[in-house]
Parts: sequence; structure tokens; C-alpha cells
Amino acid sequence: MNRLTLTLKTCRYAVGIVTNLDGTMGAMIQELKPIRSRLLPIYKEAYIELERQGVREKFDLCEGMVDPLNALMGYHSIFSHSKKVGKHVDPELRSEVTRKALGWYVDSYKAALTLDKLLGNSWELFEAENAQEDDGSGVPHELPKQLVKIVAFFIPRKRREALLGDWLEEYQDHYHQYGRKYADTWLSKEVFMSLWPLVRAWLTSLGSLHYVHELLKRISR
Amino acid sequence: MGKSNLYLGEFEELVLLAILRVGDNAYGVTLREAIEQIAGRKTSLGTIYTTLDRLESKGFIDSRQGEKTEERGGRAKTFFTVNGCGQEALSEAERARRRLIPAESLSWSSVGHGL
Repeated sequence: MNRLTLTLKTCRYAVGIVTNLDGTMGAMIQELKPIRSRLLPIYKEAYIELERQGVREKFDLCEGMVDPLNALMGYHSIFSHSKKVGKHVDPELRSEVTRKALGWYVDSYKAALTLDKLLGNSWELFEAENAQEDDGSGVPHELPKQLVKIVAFFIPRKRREALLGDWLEEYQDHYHQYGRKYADTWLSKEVFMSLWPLVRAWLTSLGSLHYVHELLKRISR
Repeated sequence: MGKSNLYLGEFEELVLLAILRVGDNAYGVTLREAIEQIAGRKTSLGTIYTTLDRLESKGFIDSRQGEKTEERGGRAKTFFTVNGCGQEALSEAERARRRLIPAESLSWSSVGHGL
């Protein structure tokens, strides 16, 4: 993900508000939330740099640029809440939000172009710092350990690699398509559905061991 | 191999059919998809792998390791194929089913299909 696409992603949140695509917007917020703390310094640096160069006014950057994600989350929650209680958002507030969102969209786009020129170095640093944990797609390379721990003991050794690999493959697919929350829920369900068959097979193998042990005892007599 | 060894459970039969249907690329994920398509049944990979284990110990299927890939966290796939005994077991299950269906219902169903 380069700087421009990241800023444009932020812009898409704004478009999401305008078109009232609550679901899509919620999913996108979930996607950016985990890296929010790492984004903040970059946005702040951009803000300060633009101010220092006296060009901030020119680009008319709104407050949201300091932490656009936070601002958008605020507006998103207003819509979600209004939807839940079954009331429409006050038309005046709605037009205010729409105006701001459109403003962000235009401003962020202009800012993205400027940021490319002003913050090249720091962005490269940011990318280098995060290169190890994020390959750009944001999809994890391992399954959540706590979930796997629950079931790993009962997976037969000769099938462990194949089963965990299959789970990871599907987990990544779900993560990529629907986001982390969905993928985690899917995996939890999968692990719990697999638990009983695996425990039953494990108990059966224990039973067989006991049988072999008894047989050996009889033979040795 | 004695006839008792050819006994197949309902889900075991389904897994064997899924392996035959998928062909060379039969591993956990593709088998699960095939079972959903064949039987419309949602199942977990844990269930599929314990069944595959059972089928292998009965001597109905063979397995081979694929190559390790980065996308799977450096883990290899295990591919499965139905061997001669497995195919014989499937045929035997089919024959047993045919023997169990009353002749009248067979003729009625064929009349129905003819219409």
C-alpha cells in the first residue's frame, strides 16, 4: 500500500458516508483501525510540514487530516446509531456531514499529491519498518495462536501440517475478502466444529493403544 | 480382502466420491468444497481429516505430500487418491444398496421416470 492509495482509502470512507454505504464503510474502518496508531504520526508530520511551508491554507486541509480515521469513525457511529433506533438522521446534520465528507474527499486528494512530494523519506521509513509484519496486502501469514492451541494437541502428527495449512489457506481467503473479524469468527467456528471429531479419534487411538498393551501383556505371560 | 473390511460408512462413502470427483487436486480444502456441492452438507476440516485417516487405515485411499508453499506458512498439502480397494468398496456399497431397495419401488420409480 503506498501513500497515495492509503490517502485515497481515507477518501473512500468519505465517499462511503456520502453514499451511505454503512456496511462497506464499517468493513473498511475495521481494515485500517489496526494500523491507525502508526498512521497518526505521518498525518501529523504532513500537517506540520504543510504549515511550515505555508501551503496548508492553500490546500485547505480540514481538521480531519490530523486523524481522518477517528473523525470518520465518529460520523459512521452516528449513522449506525440512527439506523439502529430506526430514525433518520436529521437532514441538516446529514447535509453538514455530506458537505464535510465531500470536502475531505477533495482536500485529501490534493493533500495526497502534495504529501508525495513532501514526505517521501518518512514514508519509505514507515514502509521499511512495517515491511516484515505487513506484506502490503495486510493478510497474516499465520493462524491466531490461541485458537489453534485449543485443537492442536488432538490433531494426529502426520496430519498436522496438512490441516493447519488448509486452515491457513482458507483463513487468508476469508481475511482478504471480508476482513479480520469475519476470518476470526470463521476460524473459531471451524475449530470448535473440528474439536469433537478430533478428540473422538484421539480417544479411539488411546483405546487401541490400551488394547495393544493388553495384548502384549498376555503374550509376555 | 474380506467383505467385512469393505464396509463403508455414509460419510466415508461421500469422502471417497469427493476424492474421485476432484481428481488430482484432492486435498482438504477442495474435498470440503466437493462435499458441499455433492451433498449440500457443510462440514469441518477436522471431520474430513479424521475420515481420511480412517479410510487410509482401512486401505481405501493413498496419500502423498505436495510441496511446501509460503502461502500456507511453509506447510505442504497432502493429496489423496482412491486406490483399487477403495473403488471395490464403493462398488460393493452400491451393490448392497441396490439389493436393499425393494423390487416394487424400483419398478414404480422407473415407471415414474418413464412418464
